[in-house]
Amino acid sequence: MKKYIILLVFAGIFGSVQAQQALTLYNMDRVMQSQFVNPSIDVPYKLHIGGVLVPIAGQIPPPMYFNYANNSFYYNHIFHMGEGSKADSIVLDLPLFMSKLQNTTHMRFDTQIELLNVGIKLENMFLTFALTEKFKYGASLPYDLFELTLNGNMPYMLENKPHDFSGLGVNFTHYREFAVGGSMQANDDLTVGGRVKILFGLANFNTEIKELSLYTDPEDYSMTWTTDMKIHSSLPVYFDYLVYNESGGLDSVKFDLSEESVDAFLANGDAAAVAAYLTNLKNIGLGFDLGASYKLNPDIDLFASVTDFGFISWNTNPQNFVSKGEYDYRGIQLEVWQNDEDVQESMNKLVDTVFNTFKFDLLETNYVTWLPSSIYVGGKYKFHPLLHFTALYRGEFYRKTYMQSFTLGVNSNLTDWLSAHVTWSIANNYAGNIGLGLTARAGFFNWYIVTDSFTNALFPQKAKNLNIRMGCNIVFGYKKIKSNASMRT
Amino acid sequence: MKTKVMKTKLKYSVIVFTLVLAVSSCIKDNFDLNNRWDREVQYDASFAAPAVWGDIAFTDVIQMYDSTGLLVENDEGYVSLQYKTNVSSDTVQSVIYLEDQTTSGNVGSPNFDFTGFDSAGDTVSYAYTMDMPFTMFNPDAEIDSITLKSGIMNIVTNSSYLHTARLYITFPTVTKNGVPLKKVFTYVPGGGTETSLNNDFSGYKVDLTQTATGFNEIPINIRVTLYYTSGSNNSGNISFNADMTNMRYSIMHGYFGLNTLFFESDTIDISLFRNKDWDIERYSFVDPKFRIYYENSYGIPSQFYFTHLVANSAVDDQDMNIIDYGIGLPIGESNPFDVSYSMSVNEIMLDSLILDHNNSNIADVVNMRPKWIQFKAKATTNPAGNDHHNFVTENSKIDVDVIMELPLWGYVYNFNIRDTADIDVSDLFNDYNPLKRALVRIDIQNGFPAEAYGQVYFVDNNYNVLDSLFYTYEERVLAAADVDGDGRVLDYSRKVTKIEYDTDRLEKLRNCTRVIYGAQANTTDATTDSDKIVKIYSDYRIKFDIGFEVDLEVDGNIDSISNQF
Repeated sequence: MKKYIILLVFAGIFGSVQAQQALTLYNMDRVMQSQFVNPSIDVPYKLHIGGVLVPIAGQIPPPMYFNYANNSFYYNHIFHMGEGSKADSIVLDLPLFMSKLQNTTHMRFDTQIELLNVGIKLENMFLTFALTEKFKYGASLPYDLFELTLNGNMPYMLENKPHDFSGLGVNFTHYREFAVGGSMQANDDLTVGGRVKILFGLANFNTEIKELSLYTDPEDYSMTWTTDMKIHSSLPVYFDYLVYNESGGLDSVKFDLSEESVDAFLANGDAAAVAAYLTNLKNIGLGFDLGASYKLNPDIDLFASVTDFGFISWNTNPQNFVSKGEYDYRGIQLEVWQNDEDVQESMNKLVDTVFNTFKFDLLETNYVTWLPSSIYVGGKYKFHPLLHFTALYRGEFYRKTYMQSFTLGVNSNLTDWLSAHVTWSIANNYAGNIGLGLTARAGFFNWYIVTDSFTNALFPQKAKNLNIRMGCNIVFGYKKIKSNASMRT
Repeated sequence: MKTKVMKTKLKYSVIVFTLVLAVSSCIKDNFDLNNRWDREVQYDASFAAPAVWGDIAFTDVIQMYDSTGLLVENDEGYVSLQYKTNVSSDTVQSVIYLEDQTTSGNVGSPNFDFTGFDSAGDTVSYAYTMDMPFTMFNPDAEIDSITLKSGIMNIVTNSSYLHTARLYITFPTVTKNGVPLKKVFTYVPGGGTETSLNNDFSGYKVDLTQTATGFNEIPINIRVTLYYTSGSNNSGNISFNADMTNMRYSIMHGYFGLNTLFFESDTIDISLFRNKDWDIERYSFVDPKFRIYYENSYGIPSQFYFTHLVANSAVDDQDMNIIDYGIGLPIGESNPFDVSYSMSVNEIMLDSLILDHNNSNIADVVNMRPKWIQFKAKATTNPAGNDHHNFVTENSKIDVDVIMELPLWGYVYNFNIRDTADIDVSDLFNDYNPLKRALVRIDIQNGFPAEAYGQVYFVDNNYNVLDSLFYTYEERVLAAADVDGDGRVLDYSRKVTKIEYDTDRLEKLRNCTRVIYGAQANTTDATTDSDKIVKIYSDYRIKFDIGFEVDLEVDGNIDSISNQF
């Protein structure tokens, strides 16, 4: 069983397509997938079919997306080549590392596999439906955790402020998205679009930390730990969590995968277990994407969209580990100990007190997770029929952090079958993101490959963000979109 | 032209190839930690944390030094330290007990008048009463009654008459539920042996006053009847033997004579004064007491006295008799203590005798720092002679608690403790010792009516002092809590001390191999006013919080640093 879970996790990490960060893709209007970030985008084909379920085209290459993003640091912020006499050596640079950390460091991974994606152009409407497997996972580390580890607790103690670890978290979500969308021209200038997404949650593990802090009293150094946190899980199997509290003291804690649930999951064989996992329909969710494009004048288009506004309700083996308490640690209590047993009893009392204050209580109630919603606002300046300049602002709400990026792009539909896109983005608190996008059509096949972080891929030691999206759609009925831009030459 | 294009392509190819090579080489260099990392680390952090805290009662501190003493709250509300032992009588059944008893009798043919005893239906009888004497545990004992908890009676009889015969044995004063104990034995012509064995005696009351003697005897009524069977030979004999064994009483009345209930030696260890880890220059216990508590459930007038009562000094190993001040305290053999005794069954009498500084030399004894008090005690019964109002029950007991009590009311001057311990500070002086500064913060709230001075000296192998923990008098002293006129603490005194060690001060400890630590303590104002006395109440406490700050700095090769630890 564990083997399959590991395989599933790895499949999620390394074998998927499509992400929410799509700064270059946003203006790749020859790719149906651009509708994922703005449903109002007018795609110049009457019919598209894509996805891994489509024979041949769906596998060369497989339609996948992978995104890694770190909003604080990259490798060279920890290790980098030295200077002067150390020019040939790698040096560990903790001060630089600390200087680059944000309030909360989010290390995020997002992988998607597009199973099937169909788009049909009707009279005044473009209809789509898509089936996508999505994996989102990551860890969040608060600045104060590094501050405590690398600088100790005294700097904050002298400032009389607590170490705030509430940004700490881990999350993993695997869900399937079935989206039905449509876009239409509201009038000559305005196009609107939307997608309704039914979400099928398959696995989730995430933390919800409202408060986790350590305050060191500058007067007597006593330490006050405060917690208010929950750990949720909804998996095909569940955990056994038992606290043995005999005679009022902690005896032992058992936390392990329940063998009973593992046996039940595998009762009909491994293949049946995987099938049962992938066809689980108990965790239903709902999401929306909305978008609009507006022709301000013949040369300038404006657009805006909201994506992934939605939630999933988790009902499969829901487990909620809840801890809430406050403990004032004054040190080890010295008593008049007569023998080793007295000392041991005193230590046990301390452990019991700490444990009883912070111990997790297990609830088994359904819970809801929200998708990380994004907003996009941008514009396009049609400098030349073959040369468009774009600007795009993106904001995202992610685990109590509002993350922003800004992108400038140059886009060119060079020929009827080839287009190229270059972007420069400030994203993840880094201004060195050069993105590239390319689409090429040969007959019915329309290949695309796009990344927001081409230079990051060349220099991974300086990469806060790495992403790539690629795939091939079968397209029919190309209609050249006539640009209204006048020649500026 | 074609060649030029080729050259251009080649040039660009070389440039691209070189760029790719340079980029890939750069990437490889950046991630080649195994070969390129200089492995130098710089780490600089400061931590503060609480180490220990406590909220300890004065009584706990005393027990830490003296685990054998018992701390009790005395009648006046403050605390006394008691050293206690107990002597008690042997089990009552081993002092006042019932011996096995036996008696026998014989009824021969001369006791009968056989006139007209010659045909079927004729009978002759003979009856008489005999007294069965009880042998007692003490020749002087005169027992009036016994209620038996257990016991066995066996009667063995034999007849040699040629006629049918019947023997009646009745104990009129041995009754159970008002019914006398009676046994009947019937013999066939020609006689034989008849027995009545293992008769349970439990629950029988035995009245031993119904004979002419009036104690220690019970009457037995004997009657024999012969029933004519055949022939003219009337000779014969009926004999019997009655045994009473394994008797235990639940209650016994009478006069029990002079008995020794116990005669025992014991020692009270006064560990407070036996501890060699510390010393006291001067002290005073205002009101020490030597208490003897009696708990007596015997219904017998009893006396208690010491044949030997001596304290031994921890200072000079000299003995000192504990004596009264000639006012006739009942502690010695010549003037024993008449212990109150029970006047009714199940009554337990409490009595006590207290020696204090007014009626004895006990204060002098305490001031000689006694390490133990040794005594030999004896308890006896019926000192006034015959009195038939004695009683005992199966649970009768006399318990005597002998207590040396030190009410914690007085003063202590220059209580001092000093010791040496080995210490290894080599870790502080390795090449990568990360400790650059340490500060210990000690916050004490003293609710004890005692001031203290502490010091720790760091010395080398030759006991040369390298450094001391405290540099100033203010650092060393912990003020006593204020007390009122009655010696009771009014409020805590508080002191916060910070002891800081920087690298220079740490350097002083480089050759340190031992620490000598010592402390002195005096009760409040004992240094300035020797009459200032304090009382220790059970709510006296000392509270403390000890925390630390440390500055850590690591700068060097990570492998070398790891090897150091």
